[in-house]
Amino acid sequence: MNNKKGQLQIQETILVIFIFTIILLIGLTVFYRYTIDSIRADQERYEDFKFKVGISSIPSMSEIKCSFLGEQKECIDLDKAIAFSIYSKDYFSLFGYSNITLYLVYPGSVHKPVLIYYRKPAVVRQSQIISTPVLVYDPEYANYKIGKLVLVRYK
Amino acid sequence: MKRAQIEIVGLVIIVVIFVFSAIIFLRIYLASNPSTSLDENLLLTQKANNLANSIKGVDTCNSNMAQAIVSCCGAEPFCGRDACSFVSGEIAKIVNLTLSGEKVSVELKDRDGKTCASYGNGKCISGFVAASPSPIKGVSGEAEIYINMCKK
Repeated sequence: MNNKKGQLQIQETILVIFIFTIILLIGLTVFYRYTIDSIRADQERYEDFKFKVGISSIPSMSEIKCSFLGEQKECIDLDKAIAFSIYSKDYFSLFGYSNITLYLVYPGSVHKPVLIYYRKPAVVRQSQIISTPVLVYDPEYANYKIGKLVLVRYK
Repeated sequence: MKRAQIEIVGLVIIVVIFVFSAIIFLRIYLASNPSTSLDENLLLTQKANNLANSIKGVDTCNSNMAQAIVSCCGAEPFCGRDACSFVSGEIAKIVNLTLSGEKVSVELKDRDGKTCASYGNGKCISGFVAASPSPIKGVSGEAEIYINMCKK
């Protein structure tokens, strides 16, 4: 009788440990998946924020920003932007998969758009577009125009 | 099953339901992403600042818009016509060409804070995000430009 009771208790303990292990594994899996999802969401939020900040950081890049005798001004130099568009493919680590285009819109410009940066992934699931007005200096005519800087982010 | 065992099973079920409810609530709460509206406001503020910088810097009619705005506040003509109507018309054109449908209000004030001209492209019901007032210097005086962008 005592022997049977002992066996029963051992079986009970094994069953409890087994169920506990199963619950622990399920808990760990759920926690792991939740953490991974959370990190991905944080990364997406960061990428989104970095993309939106682009409307202020891109016109401020010294590669395209106006400067007169070393003094910088809040505008985009059209010639610098055209020159930068040739070498901009090296800026993938900064811009990622995106399209940055400058359209001259005022006063009634006939200048064709400047494709400052362009890199598109093989498959585009989604794209996000933002734009901002920018002041553009045209050295050819030595005057200031207004442009529309359009940023497209490919996901 | 004894009564005590049934009660323990009931308690376990309640605890499990409670834990699951807490997890679901946390997921929904964390997924609501409160930083989005902050990002949107920052974006609009930056756009408003860029618009103010563009308006006051652009060249027009063999002079520049800054001078046109100062002339408007000084009740002087500009480009052979009333400076204020010229400025209002050009600002409307610039807003239409550069913004993507955002509602905006532009106000031009003289140094005493008196409104010289204003422009708005729609009624805003969700509140404004403002750019910091931008000072304008012309040949014949000074003025300020105030830009408000409507929240989405």
